[in-house]
Amino acid sequence: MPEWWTYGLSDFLMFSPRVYHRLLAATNAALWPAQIGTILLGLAAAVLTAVPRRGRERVLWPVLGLLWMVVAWAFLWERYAVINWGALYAVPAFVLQGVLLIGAGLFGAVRLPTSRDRTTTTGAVLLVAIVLGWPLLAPLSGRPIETAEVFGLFPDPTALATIVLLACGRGGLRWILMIIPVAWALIAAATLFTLGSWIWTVVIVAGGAAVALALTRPTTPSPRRS
Amino acid sequence: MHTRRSLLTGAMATAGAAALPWRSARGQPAPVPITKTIPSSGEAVPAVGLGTWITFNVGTDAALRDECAAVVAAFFAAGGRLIDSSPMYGSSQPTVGYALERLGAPETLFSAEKVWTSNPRNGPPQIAQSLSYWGVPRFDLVQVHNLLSWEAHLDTLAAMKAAKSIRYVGITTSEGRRQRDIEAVMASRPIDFVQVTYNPADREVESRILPLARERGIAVIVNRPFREGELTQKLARRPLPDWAAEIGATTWAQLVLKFIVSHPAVTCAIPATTRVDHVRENLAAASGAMPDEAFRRRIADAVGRA
Repeated sequence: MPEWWTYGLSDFLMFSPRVYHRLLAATNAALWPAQIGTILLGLAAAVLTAVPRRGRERVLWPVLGLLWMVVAWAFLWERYAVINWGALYAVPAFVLQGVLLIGAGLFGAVRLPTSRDRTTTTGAVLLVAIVLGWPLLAPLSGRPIETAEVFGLFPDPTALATIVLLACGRGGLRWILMIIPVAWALIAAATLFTLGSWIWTVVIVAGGAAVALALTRPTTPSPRRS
Repeated sequence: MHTRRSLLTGAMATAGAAALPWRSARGQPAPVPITKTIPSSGEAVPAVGLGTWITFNVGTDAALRDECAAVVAAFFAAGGRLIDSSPMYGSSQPTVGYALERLGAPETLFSAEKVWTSNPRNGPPQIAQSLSYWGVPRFDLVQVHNLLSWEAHLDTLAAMKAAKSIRYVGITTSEGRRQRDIEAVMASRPIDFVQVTYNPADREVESRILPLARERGIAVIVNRPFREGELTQKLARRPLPDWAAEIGATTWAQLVLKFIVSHPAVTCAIPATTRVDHVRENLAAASGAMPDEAFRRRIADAVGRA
């Protein structure tokens, strides 16, 4: 019987911060200039959230789903799993999340509100903050900008942005779609905590704010219809 | 009052240590590390080895792989032999293999690996995969990592030893986990090695496991001698005591290593590092004067206050 209970959090942190940051830099170098494209996609998602347009869900969720698959392949499978075998277990979860988001978009399972309300406005602001602000955490924590983690290519900002977008949606399925992103946010926070990085607090605050947004969203349509 | 005369000097040293000594900046040959005897065979191994947890998990980063290769080269040049790794350590095994290949497969290598899988049937293929990563024909020692599925794995390893595809069998634990289980295995199974955590701040094994190892003729490998660097970082805030010079220790790390390897039951400590100067410093700690029991208590008291 596996004696997993004998292991602590630090037992699974099998790489040093230096190695991890060099991995981030190598990933960015290999994928450049995809970062510009995914940041633009993130900003477009914020606009689609704040500005109601018919049929936007058919674009928003599938594109987001494809980005989860990009993260699964380009970062988790190709690079992160080399220094952290635990990432291999995350790959199918990320692919599943991608498939679910694509399906949710194509079948209209998670609708965005037909009018702008407090939730979508706050969500759009939070989304812009994650998409533009997350890469800046690298220099803010004393690392070169080359180690920046960008929405759509790296798991942490992608998971947090997804929680925000789902918080703006309607329908019970969005809660199911939040399971994997929230689980990853918790894993990311634990990893960053063990690495000695204060950014774990930002993950918790951003993820907590997104979940709170989902829990407090108005149930009645806003009178300010567009 | 301790004097050099009261210390154990070259008593544990043998001529069996690996050669190829590096030369210091002053052109002096590096000191030869003392060796300790593996009770089950009488084979001697240098008292300081090389761990690979975290430090050698550098993925495919070419610059970092070269850094690790330089550490391994310096390790062998300073008389080191035993390198320890595990399938649990990410890319550490391929990094060891890369370093060994660059050195042309050093003949003095003492390879210490582990089997770490909950399914006993996966043990042999995992060991075969580890051999492929190292690029060696066989391992000297294979240990059951953290006692995971230890009963079945020990049966497998015993069969491999009988078939001469490995030379020694062992078990490991760390950070004081499952000490009663370790004792039970040591008392009931014919193992050659046990690997535990031991340093002046983590001394639980002194009460039962180390005496049992002596009684049963089991060699002891010591992991986490510096608590993954946490201990030496804490100690660095305080000046090294003047009396450290009495046993030739020039750093806290050397004082800690001398404490560990001077225990009669300890065979080899396996500090991990990414730095060539540190690996040389570690090997140098296994040479020259060693602390006697009273001096060891003094070290434990000093480090325990850290």
